[in-house]
Amino acid sequence: MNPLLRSTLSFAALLVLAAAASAADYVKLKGGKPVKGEAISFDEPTQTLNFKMEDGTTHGFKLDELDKRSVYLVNQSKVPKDDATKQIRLANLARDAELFAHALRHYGYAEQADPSRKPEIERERGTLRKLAAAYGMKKAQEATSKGDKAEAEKWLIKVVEKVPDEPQAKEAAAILEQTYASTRAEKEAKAQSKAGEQLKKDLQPGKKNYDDMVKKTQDGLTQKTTGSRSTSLWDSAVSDGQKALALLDKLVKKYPDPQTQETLGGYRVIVVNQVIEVHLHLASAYTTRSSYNDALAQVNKALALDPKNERALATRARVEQAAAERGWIW
Amino acid sequence: MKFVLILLLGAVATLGSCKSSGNSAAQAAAERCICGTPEADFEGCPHPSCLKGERNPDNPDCVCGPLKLSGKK
Repeated sequence: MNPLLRSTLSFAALLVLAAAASAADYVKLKGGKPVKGEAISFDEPTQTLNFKMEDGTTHGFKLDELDKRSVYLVNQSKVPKDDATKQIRLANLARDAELFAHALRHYGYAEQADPSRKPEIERERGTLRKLAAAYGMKKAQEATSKGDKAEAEKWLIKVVEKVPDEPQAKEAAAILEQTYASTRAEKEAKAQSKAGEQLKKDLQPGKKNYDDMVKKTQDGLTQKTTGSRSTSLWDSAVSDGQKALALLDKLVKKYPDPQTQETLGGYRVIVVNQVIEVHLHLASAYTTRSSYNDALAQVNKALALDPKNERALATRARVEQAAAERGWIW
Repeated sequence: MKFVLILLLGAVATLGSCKSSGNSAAQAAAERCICGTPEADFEGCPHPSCLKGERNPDNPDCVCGPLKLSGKK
């Protein structure tokens, strides 16, 4: 055989093997041990998943041997998207396993399959919101007890944004009122700690803009997120942030020395991060209202400030998904 | 011979097109599969496979798509 043809065929065979390897499935046993191989079939009468192991042997796993994620996985593998009854049952299973995003997706499929069942689905979503609110607060409390302020704030904001009508959202908002502005004031003070007296004086209007932006962001979070009051507060917060950035641009030209440039650069990062956060709050609010184009516009504004921002990129992916499926409705 | 090479190049190009359009590290990080984390359980995973409702075979905790039940009963 021609050597070039032989090496070409070998490479092609490797590609096929790599593709086959990447197609392997996992399930997890109770206790968390992963099992890799290939799911072959599910036997309904005995509730057994027949699984071809990596060594080529076949093993039957009863559903009660699997962890809750794998039980959901097996069940979702059997349920067609257009069967509303089964999708609701599957959504409830996911919800009770604390897989809230998955549950929402299945409620969306059920509603698409049979719009007449919307009231029933909405009741189930209501139960999901209660469970999700409790879950989010539990995560915030766990983070607080570990001293992880950033993680705690992340969960408090999720509760406030995703389940604003639940009692936990009021509790989360009250905590945010205590902590949100002070956390950012600390960052801002640190950013200008190395600034000279004249620079601090020049930064004063920017500091006021920043403080106003933070206050309005916080006020928007402690309102009902989907309300127009929140979005107008956040629009105004973005405007404050832009004023602060415009001032920083001027100061960069006024102070060409490297040390001041570094101080201003650090300050700029603080302001930009806050403006991005506000854009993402707006995106979340618009997504909740199913105003996906507005949501994407906000994400794109965030990415214009920092094209590599991971949160913004992840948010864009989620908004696009919500727009495509119209199923991730809280 | 040329035909085989063209086929191979076509296969490589097709495999390449399956990757994310973004190639920066940040894009990749934003699209990393976070299935199995509380955050993903709460608001979903931004990984492209997960968003398509497909399972990421590289993450044992991913439950975004169905098992491939080859001999479904």
